[in-house]
Amino acid sequence: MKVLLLLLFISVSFLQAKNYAVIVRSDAPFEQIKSNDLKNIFLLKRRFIGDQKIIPINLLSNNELRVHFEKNIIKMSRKKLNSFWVKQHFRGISPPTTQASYQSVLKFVTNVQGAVGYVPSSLVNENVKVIYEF
Amino acid sequence: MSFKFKTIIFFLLISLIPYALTMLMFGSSFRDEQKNNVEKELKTQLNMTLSRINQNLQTLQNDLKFMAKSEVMADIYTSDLDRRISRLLLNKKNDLNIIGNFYLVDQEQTIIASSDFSYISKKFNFNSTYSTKVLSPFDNKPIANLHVYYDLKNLTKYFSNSENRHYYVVDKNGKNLFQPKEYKESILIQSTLSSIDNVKIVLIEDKAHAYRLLKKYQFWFVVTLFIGALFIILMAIYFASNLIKPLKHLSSTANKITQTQDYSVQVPIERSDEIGHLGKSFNTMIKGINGAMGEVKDLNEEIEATQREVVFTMGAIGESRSKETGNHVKRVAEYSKLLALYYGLSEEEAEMLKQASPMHDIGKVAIPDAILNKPGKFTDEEFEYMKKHAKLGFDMLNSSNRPLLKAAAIVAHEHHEKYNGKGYPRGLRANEIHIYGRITAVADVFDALGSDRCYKKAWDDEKIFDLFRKERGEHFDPKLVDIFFKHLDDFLEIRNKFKDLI
Amino acid sequence: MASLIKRIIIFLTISFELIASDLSSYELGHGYKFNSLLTIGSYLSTEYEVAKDERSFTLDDIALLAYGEVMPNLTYLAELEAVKFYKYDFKNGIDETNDAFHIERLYFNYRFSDNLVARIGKQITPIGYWNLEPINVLRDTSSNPYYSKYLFPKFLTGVDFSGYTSDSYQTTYHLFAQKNEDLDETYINIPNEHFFGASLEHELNDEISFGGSIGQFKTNSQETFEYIQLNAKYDDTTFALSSEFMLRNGGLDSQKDENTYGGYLQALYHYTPQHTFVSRYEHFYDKSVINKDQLFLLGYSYRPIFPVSFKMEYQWHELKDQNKFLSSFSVLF
Repeated sequence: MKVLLLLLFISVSFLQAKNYAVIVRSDAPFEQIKSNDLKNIFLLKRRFIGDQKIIPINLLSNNELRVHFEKNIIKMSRKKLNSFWVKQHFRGISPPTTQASYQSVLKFVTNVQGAVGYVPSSLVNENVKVIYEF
Repeated sequence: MSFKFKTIIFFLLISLIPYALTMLMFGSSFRDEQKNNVEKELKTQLNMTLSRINQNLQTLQNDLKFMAKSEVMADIYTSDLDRRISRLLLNKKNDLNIIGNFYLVDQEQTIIASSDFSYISKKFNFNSTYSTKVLSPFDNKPIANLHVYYDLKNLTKYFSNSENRHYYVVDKNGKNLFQPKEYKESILIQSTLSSIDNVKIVLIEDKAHAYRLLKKYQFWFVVTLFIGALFIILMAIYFASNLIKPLKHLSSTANKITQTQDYSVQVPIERSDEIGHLGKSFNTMIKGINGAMGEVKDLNEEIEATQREVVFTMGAIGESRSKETGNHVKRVAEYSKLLALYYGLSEEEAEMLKQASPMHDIGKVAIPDAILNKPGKFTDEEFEYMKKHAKLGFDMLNSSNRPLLKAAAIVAHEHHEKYNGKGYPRGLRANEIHIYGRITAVADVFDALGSDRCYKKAWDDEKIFDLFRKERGEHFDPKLVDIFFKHLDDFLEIRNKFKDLI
Repeated sequence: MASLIKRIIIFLTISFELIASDLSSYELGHGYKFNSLLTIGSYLSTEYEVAKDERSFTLDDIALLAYGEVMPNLTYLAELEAVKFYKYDFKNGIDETNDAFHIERLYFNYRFSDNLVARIGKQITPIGYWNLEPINVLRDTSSNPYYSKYLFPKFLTGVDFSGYTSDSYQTTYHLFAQKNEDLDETYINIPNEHFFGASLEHELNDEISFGGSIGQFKTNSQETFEYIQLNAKYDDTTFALSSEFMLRNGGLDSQKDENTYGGYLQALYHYTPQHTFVSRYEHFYDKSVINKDQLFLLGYSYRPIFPVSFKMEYQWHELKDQNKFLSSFSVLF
């Protein structure tokens, strides 16, 4: 029974394997972050973590990972997000900047303190640290 | 030097010199103006081209600055991994269609992005035309420089070159670039390009072509100058002629009058000015002279007539002692004139002989009656004495200088000379005897033989003719005898006309 | 103003060269971002109204929007709008144009932290929900409820402090003050020279939020008003129910025991993301101008994409001759 439970647990954990990581520069002055904070950050409602100005980096709109991110972290459909940003445009707020590839997200995050991006976990290197996994 | 010529020269001097000076001054200032215009036009063209170039370069600089502020520059932080910046630079280069490249260079002089992808990641160690700082979108600090290298070859697309005129560029080392050809002689304008340091643009034109219009003008100017001068010369000649004509007319009329002695001629008056007045005065003078001459002529004629009468009367007086009739003198005079004319003497000479002839025997007044009117034959002593009348007559008449009396002197002296030299007083022969003497001999003998004398009766004509024939070449000049016989009728007519009336 | 339009048009034309090279990145409703310093946008709306005494077509709003970040944490926004740009009155056959652009909004925003943001300039008065989305394309019906039209100034020219009250990022506060005349009063519903207020808004969860505010303002005609306001909303993406209400006292002829009030209750149903049905009940009583009305409206809107909206509605009024039909079309660029 225990073995069965263990196997179940392991398989479930595999099913819920954390393939993606939200990364910041390795010397960022903050560690783990909650999903809700991440949502606020990417909706540009929250601009600071502590004293650090946060710069969220999205992937391109047609990127699968981004869609996945929006669904699971931001928890808004593309359509709803779209209307949200249209309203924000009226309020004078532009959506987060984008980078075209995982490598460029990694590089950007490495070079800019406060940049937050998300990439496949396999790409994480020593220059960045993971603050959230999904 | 004729007055006409002098006038022409003077007129030419006072008109040609200022004319030539004016034309040359005008021509030279015109030429300078044309040269200036050529230069000005070149300058304008160059400036137009320059302003276009500068405008485009300004646009390039503005585009550079604008791109440096573009959102995509945030990719500097990813070293432009996704080539978004490079693609923007390439698009811009293609849009502007320039020869050259854009380079985005980081603070370590590495090329992050470029419109030429082969330069990416290389070191930036060459010169660029323009550059501008790129600031970080997060903290506004400079994180890179955006450069553009604008090849000078780009400038050639603004050059509208032609066969005779083209542009070229002088780079910062003074080297001439893009010059298609050289001209033998040229004019050029140059100007520095304000948007790129030390680069000059030169506009050069072949001199011959630049001044082609000027050459044309010059040619026509010279032609006009000559035509003008020619016109002036012709006008001078015309005016001078016009001025001189009446004077010439006047002088030629005066000459003609002098030559023809015809003082009734008048000069036609064609003008009412001073020359006309001169003509009028001349005419008045000539008319006066004409009148005077007429009077003189009349006086002269009267004198001549008187003279003739006197001479004739003197002759008649001389003949009156010798019981010759007056008509003998007349007849002899007429025979003498006729013979003289036929011989070939002029009318004047013949007429003079006619008037002189009556005095051929004037010497007889010095011969005493006893000898002169002796009815019988003369003794030798008496004949010698008679012979003296020739010399005596000559002495009496020769003391005067009047031509008529001089002629009469000759006649008196030589009317007894014979062609063969056996005459008296001097025994002259043939042509030694003056023609007057030879003629008078013939005339006198012919009349003497045909008239009754105190010592003889008149001869028959035949007998007279025989004697003449016999004495041709002896007593008489053969030529005169021939004339006599040739024109015998004329002589007989005279004899008839002036026949003695008994 | 006309020269301003000209300059703006020239700016747009020049920008076109740069936009054209990057047109692929443009999405309708999101404006065009040159860089962090400048994003531009625009919107327009047209309206067709049929009422008892009126039948008209109006090119209602044309506006230009520009915003960006000047320095880290310092942003600005400028909005120029021409209202009733063109109106054609079918009844009388006359048309009128009004090409005067006025300044709708103009402010600087400085973010000290997530808890303190200062906004200085002419801005939308942060009261309730409806007032925050004043343009046709963003709101649910062509018409605005009485509540937002007549009860309080839609804009204030002054300073507003706002922010999240805690780390939970669920509660937002606003504290605003205006002690000067409005910047460009042209189309402000209630021009005022003195306006103070405070509000709180709480997001319970993704669907439910509620809040309220109090404040005081003095109009240019020297009337002072005080108000208290409440709002609440439920929105689960398919169905939304919202309500706002304000109670106001003051004015020259007012009696202390009879107050002005107004409010609405609106239900909205998204049949699909493109097709929406809306119904709203409003109640309004303005003592100062003796104006009161109740109305019920039914509306429909079609949004092929969110920034493009076709709307139709019909209003039934307590005063029968106020019934009207409205339809509109609007776009946000």
